[in-house]
Amino acid sequence: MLITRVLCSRTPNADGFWKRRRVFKLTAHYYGRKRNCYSIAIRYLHRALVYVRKSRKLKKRDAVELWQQRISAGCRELGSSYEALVRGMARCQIALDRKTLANLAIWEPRTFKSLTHIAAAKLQREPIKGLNDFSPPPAGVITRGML
Amino acid sequence: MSNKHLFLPSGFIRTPLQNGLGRYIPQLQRITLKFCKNHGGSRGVRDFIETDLMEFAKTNPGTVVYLKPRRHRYPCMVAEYLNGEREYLSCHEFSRAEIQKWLSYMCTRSGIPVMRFRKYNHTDYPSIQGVWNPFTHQAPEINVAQFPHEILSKPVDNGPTATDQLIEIFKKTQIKDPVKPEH
Amino acid sequence: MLRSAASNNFEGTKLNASQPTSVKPQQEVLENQQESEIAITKETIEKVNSQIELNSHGRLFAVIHLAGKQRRVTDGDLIMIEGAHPADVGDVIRAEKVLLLGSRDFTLIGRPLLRPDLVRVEVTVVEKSLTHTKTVFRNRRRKNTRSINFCRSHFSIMRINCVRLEGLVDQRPEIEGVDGRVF
Repeated sequence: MLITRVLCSRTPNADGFWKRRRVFKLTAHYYGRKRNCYSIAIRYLHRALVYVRKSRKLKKRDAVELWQQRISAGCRELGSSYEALVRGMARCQIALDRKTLANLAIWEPRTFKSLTHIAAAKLQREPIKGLNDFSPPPAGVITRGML
Repeated sequence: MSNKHLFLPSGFIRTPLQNGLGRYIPQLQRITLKFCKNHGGSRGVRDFIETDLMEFAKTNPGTVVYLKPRRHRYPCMVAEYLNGEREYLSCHEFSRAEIQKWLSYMCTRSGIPVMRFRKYNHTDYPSIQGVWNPFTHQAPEINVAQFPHEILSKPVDNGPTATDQLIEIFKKTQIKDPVKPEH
Repeated sequence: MLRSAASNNFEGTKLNASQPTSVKPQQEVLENQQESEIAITKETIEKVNSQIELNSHGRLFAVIHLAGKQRRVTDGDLIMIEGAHPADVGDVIRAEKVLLLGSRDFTLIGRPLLRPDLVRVEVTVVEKSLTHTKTVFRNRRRKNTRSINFCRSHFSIMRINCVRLEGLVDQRPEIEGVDGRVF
């Protein structure tokens, strides 16, 4: 069949159906016209996929924030502070990271308590300005001059 | 109702039958390679069968390899695992190296379907010293204290009240009467 | 309670004392080591050692540094390692970077690592596979610029076989770090 150039351009592409079906599969759980109208669905899908990519990084950042919050809450309960713990530990060459510390604060409270005390004892020996406000000083930390 | 599971199931890491406790047991039981003897799409599979298949079968004695020549069909591989799962993979126009790669992927899998992991570790014993609770680091005297208590019943925040602070600010802002210079 | 790796203070003062006194020497006042403190230390270490000898410390947990991340593990845990890892499936690895070892009653803290002949943590590779397909979609709004990529990355799942104490605290062997090594 001979079709004019205008009609030819109007004929839908054979793959267009599959292209749209691919999109509709991903928008199947949306509500309203963004589920079934292609031109609206594709806009929302693009936006959603961009969010997916971006939130992969945000998730990690949020996790770090959460760990910091948990550690500082744990420290404050013991009369210390997040800064004092982290810097005291760094001076003692204890290389535990924030993820582990947050875990220890919740699940192994005695270990966490001893870590805060060690850090505080170190800071009392070598005070940093504005950070040696651990009150009262940790009792029962015996360093034998080795800390 | 949430229907996010429609696209990607999520779950936690696990191994079938406590694999790895004691020793590791290979999970791949059977692998079936279907290919065509003539078509170009099966060329990589045919190359693989000619050169590497015996080696593969020798290094994986726990795995049964089936070869099924099927005339004029796309090649594919089907892996069957110890936990009853099976996985299908189309190998159309794969090269020999690609076949090797996907075969090693099938070998080292545990057969649990692909999913998004919610956590990257699993433990049956999350706590050994006991989980933190609000009384963990408290002095045990609270347990036997009689209320009202002299110290414990007092508010923790002993700072100046808002009224006190306001009075303080007011006093600071008071300007003393300037002393008149006498001429 | 705390086992420290090395003491720098004593050596530091000696060095300072032997330096020429053209500059004002940096002096450090060392606290007297109290008899009672030494007694308490001795008692604590003895208690820990007796628990290790009698194996009465119960379940142990360790913080290991494996594949670039710190993980808190005990016996029978599963951990997931993101990215490609050289170990093959079924391999048993010894995790040598142990940062901390804890139990119900005591905690050994490494500065930064514990001695390798004190603690033994063994890991079996149970599964090596690929993650679910991640969509990497970039879109610049109103610029008609977009790209879509699909990515599946490697991961391996490992089973912790043992977290074990193999030596006594405060007792060092004559030669360290050669245990189990091939030169």
